[in-house]
Amino acid sequence: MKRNNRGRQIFSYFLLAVGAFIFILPYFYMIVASTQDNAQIIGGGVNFKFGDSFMDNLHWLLERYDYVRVIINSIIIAVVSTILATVSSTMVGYALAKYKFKGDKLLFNTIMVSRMVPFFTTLIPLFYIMSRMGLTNTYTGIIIPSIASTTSAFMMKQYATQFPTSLMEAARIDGASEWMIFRKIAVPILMPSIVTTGLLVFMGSWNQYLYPLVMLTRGDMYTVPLVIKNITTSSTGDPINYGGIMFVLATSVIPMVLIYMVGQAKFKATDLDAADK
Amino acid sequence: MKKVKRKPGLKTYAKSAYGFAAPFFVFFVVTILIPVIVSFVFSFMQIGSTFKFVGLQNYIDIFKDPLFLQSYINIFIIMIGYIPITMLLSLFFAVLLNSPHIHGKGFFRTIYYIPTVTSTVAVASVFMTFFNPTGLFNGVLEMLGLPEVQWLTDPVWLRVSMIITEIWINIGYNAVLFLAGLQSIPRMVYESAEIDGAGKIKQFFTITIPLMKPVILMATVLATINGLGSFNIPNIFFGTSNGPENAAIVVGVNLYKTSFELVDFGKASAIAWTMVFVAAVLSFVQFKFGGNDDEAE
Repeated sequence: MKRNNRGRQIFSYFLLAVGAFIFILPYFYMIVASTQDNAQIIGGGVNFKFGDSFMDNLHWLLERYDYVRVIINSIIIAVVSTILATVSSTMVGYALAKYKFKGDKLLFNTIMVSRMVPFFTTLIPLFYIMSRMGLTNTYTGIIIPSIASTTSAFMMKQYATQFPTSLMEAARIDGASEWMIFRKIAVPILMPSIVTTGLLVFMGSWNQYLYPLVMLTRGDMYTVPLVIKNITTSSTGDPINYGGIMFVLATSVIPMVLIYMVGQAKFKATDLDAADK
Repeated sequence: MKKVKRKPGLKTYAKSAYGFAAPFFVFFVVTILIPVIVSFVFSFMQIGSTFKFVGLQNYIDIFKDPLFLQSYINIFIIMIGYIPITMLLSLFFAVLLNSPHIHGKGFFRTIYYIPTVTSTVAVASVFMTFFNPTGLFNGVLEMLGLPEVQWLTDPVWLRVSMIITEIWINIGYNAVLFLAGLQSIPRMVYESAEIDGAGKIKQFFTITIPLMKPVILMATVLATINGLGSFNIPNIFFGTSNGPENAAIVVGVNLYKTSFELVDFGKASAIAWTMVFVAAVLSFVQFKFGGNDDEAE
């Protein structure tokens, strides 16, 4: 019986390790292949040896796509979106969790239902309105629709519910205004949750593809996913530069994975997992 | 202000609540609510330099278009291919992780979840490299002495390729979701079953599955809605091409093509609303047939 358990335990570890291997492999591959050229990447066989094309891939990217500018575009859009979305969803979440007001249920239900509507529904009108306002190929055009993040609003409402109402009442007796209570008491207490929400918005913004694909047509406004797409399309008729793709992946995906892992360890680990999308 | 101090009921502070809700509300209305309504109106219009109301014409047109129907068939084949396998594997890993004798749960969970925080465009481009005729996957097949596969150019295998990629992406998210569900099942339930002589397999089917049903159902509905709107992976694999024998075109890509290549916003909006309709019907059916009586709502 005892030995049976031990055998089973080892087998479980083995299966879990196989799973972990399968999930890590592509990331390891990105790093290795970012140092390889096409001949090594698609030359047949299994090749996990570091090559010496890292600098060549970098030069190619800098020349062809102004890669530094692309990274800066992605950072600006993600940082501004994160700040605005986190602030607005913290405030609305707090309002929905801690106050009774006319239309609060309606607002909450509308938010929940709208999360079920495919993004494709809003895409065309958004593009139409944005292009009429001359906001294609601008940061503003990408950032505006990210502010009302329904997922973040929902998450922040869930978190803010745990914030004790008694603290608010005590502060009111001391004569604090509602805004002061929010700024000086609620926000500091909710900070870990706010950071968690912010991290998710940041990663979502960094990864978003369809909307920027529609809105950003000029090469100097591209974000990282658009560069990946552009390399895979290879409209010039040249063969796809896989080394270039892998370089982009190694420099844009791996940092995000590290941010996730640090955030995971530091902040509410389970929340960061449970609350995705 | 004085009145406020005397009556500390929640309602009294409604004015502040509106203030807190306002920034989100404004952007919610402008970037979500209004676009949804506009999209619905667009679906009944012909949009060019002018707007013309055409009634149901867009819907009639898309249903006459064989490519539209094929795009639904393709995405359904892909979803039927990956959603059940994803759910089974996710549950499998979640059960392994939930076992009391396993250490390093947090480590494995973090690893399994990484694909969820990775851009699907990035994932698709790595897999595209693997699927290259002389890429990693065929290299492995060659090592094993198996025949090579035309991963992205054969009408059957290209669907298998999409299914493999989707499974890889989706396992982690669902495994973590299921793990949270499993952790809420009291260990005592299993212990008493063990005393009654029920083996692990029997326990799995008589305890785990029934108690996990609502979570699995919810995950399946979410996966279906997300799968229906699939765009990034097929777009990286095949661009906007229909693929051999129209096997690669999915609804999302067809919609994108209709709106941004053919610039027919009316028709594209109509396609978007068929997606809303199909998603609603599928969710309803899944809740109806998957749920217990009290969860059917």
